[in-house]
Amino acid sequence: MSEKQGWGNICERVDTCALTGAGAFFAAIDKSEVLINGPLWCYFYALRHLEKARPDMYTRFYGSQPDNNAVIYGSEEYVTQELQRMLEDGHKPSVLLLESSCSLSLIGDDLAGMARKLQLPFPVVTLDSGGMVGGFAEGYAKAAKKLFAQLLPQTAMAKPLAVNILGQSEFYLQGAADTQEIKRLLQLAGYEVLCTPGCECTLEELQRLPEASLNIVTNAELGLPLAEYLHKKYGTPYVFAGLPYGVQGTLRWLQQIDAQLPAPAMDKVTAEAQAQDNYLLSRNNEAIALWGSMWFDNVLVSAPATQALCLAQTLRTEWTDIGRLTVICQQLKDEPACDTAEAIYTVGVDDAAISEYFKTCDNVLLLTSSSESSVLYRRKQCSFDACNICYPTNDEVFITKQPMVGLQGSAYMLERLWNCFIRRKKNKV
Amino acid sequence: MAIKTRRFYSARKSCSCSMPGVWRAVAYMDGAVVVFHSPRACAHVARTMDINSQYRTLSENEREQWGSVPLLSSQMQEKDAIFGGVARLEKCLRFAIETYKPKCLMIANSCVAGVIGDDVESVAREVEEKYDVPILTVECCGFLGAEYYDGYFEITQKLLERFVKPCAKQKDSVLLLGDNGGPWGHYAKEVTRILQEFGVEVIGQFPGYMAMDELEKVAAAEYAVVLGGRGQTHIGLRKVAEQLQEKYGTHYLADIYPVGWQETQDWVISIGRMLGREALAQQVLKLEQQRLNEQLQHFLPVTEGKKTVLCIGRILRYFHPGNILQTIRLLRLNLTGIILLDSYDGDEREAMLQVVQENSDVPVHTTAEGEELVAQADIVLTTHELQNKEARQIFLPMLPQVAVAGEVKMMQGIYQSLCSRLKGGVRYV
Repeated sequence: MSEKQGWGNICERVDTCALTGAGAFFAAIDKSEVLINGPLWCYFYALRHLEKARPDMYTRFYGSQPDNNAVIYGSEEYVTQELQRMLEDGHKPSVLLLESSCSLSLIGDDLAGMARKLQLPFPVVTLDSGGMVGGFAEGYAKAAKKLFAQLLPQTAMAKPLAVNILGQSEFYLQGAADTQEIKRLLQLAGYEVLCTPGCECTLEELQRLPEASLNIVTNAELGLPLAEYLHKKYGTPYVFAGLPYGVQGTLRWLQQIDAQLPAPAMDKVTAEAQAQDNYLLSRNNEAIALWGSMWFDNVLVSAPATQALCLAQTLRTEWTDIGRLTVICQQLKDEPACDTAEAIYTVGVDDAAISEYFKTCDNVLLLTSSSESSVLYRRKQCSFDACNICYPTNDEVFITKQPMVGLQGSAYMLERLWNCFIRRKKNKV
Repeated sequence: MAIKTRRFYSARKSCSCSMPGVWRAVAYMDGAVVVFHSPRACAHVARTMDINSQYRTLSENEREQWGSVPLLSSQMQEKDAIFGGVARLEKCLRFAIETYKPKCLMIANSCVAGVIGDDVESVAREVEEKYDVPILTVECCGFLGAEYYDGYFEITQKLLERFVKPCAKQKDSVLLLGDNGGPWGHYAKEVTRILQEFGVEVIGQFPGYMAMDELEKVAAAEYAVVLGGRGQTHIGLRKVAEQLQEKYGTHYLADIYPVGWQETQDWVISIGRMLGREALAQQVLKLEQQRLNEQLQHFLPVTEGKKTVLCIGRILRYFHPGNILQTIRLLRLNLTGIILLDSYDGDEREAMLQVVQENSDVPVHTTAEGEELVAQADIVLTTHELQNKEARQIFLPMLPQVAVAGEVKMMQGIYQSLCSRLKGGVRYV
């Protein structure tokens, strides 16, 4: 990637800050708390992101609110004051993440020393974070590795058939529901799922991570750094399986895992997949009988890279026919193959092409976030429909927890696509 | 037992960041490009604000008439903290000029750039000389000793100095000063409607919503009307108006914030005085009074006598209770108590208490005394969301809507909440 190519318009990208990503990894741990050593502004934007999945996040997410003198004299006064308030209020989190924003990270405050001085009666993980580290994924991975280094046992015996799911976040759209479906499928296949870091887990479960015989990586940008760390430290092998979209996609996904660690009850998943396939076929045919075959002239899939590529692959091979499929990956990583798209772009690499796409596309279904819809709303004279698959989701309300992945997710996604198709037909009348 | 508020914090020092202020000051000025000398995540935060603002406009059944300008980030990384980020900034500026061919570039500095001491001014000067494109810089760096409005006004000041030229006055023309959601926002639309009743035409909204090519016209306006507010934003806008008067003889109206009926009346009379059309102002007032009365007749059968509690936790600079107390009187609500929330530092509580007592003889309570009062109220009007599922709450916004349309909207929110058969809930007006 040349420097010149990487500057593109932020309005055509989607991400948050490493501060948010690190907070998100810890927020997913049961009874954890997070203290941001940074300005109220950074604290508030991180909190607002986390509240999308956990509306009560404000009860365990705090800010030290240092002023500008802190970058000269240090932030100890502010951090200590907030930690003392936590002690006085009787807080006893399972683990506390104490992280500095980018400017506070630069001054080299000894956060661990501050925590030690107060002899806090709970484990504390300290981190220099913020935007200098990168976006959500970089913060997530940095926080995870810091916790692993500090709180995981030095050695462990691998348990047969025990696996971890690495690369999930409940702060991705429908992240908790997706994780539960992946976990359910693995358990149905006969595996024991030890832990799902980043999504509804406990500190005790995290401490059992090294007991896995295989680590399964789903979202590469989140999971691969963790898998590599655990491989290096404990020798645990890993497989980058991606995300299981669609019925056949789920079976293919499981076969990759089975090839590394044979599943004792693969037949159970196959049977459920067959039943779901039959069900979806009958529902599909009924919809076709009334509305005709589903067809979209243009579809844009834009999301974190693994999600975008895995979903695009299933979209055209299982769910719908498409004239032209374009994919925008929001991260640059080692990704699963996707041979169904006419064009695959990566932000920070193909910014000029992405810009041109937004200027010229029309009659398009967006499987994206509301950020892409926002760009097209502004263009006017552009016909599009939106089916959000990632945050932000300003133009669609999500209340139910429905997985987009796995066998259950294939029904949900097919349903949403059909409803988009029908809406477009109705709007043309 | 004390009442509790949701997501409650008291802002101790700096609450905001100056970079989004820079962005917002020129966000819709065709021909401008904004560069954040910052980690990429800072620009994502500004983009989040941008998306939220756009969808808020859509939620009001309005559509932006044109889109925002490109926003780039120099994408500072950890290594820049050691070697400095100016080389990176220079590349980014060159890219911005070559790609977008802007009429002007604006650079906003992050707190990181401030801490490492990058000489942004010199880089800007060099690039400007080389490419002959004006580049505006600011002294403020993120949250360091600066707030949102510091960035906003510093760039506004520079736009005035550099691009506004003396020119012939356009008869009966008005320039709106300030943001408040732009020309398609509630404030500008309501002000424009009333100004049209006086026979004058709005020729632009400065800064933020005039193309770079149009800036010369700023001095052509005969009059300027500040889209007022409270706090520093208002003080800054008033200074801009003073400058326009001093340099170009533009008469202005600044000191009235037309929230609530009394202020709206004062505002209309002052507009009449400024335009030399006092008699017309009386006619306009009569029409506005008629509009308000028609609506009041509809609301009163439901609102009269209803037990109401007012909860105030915002400092006087951002919230004057006079307006809502007047609305309460107009709707003939039965105000049973006023609760001052536990968010005040030092003298701020005393200052608010004094103003409350000057405007009302209703007893004032603390949060510790408030629970019973809230439990018995038909409706709670509050500056902070309460952690109470039973109470019907009206959230009093930081930027209330203005004039008769704004007053009617507030009244309608109270009316609808009282009509609601749902238990509890928060209404954002």
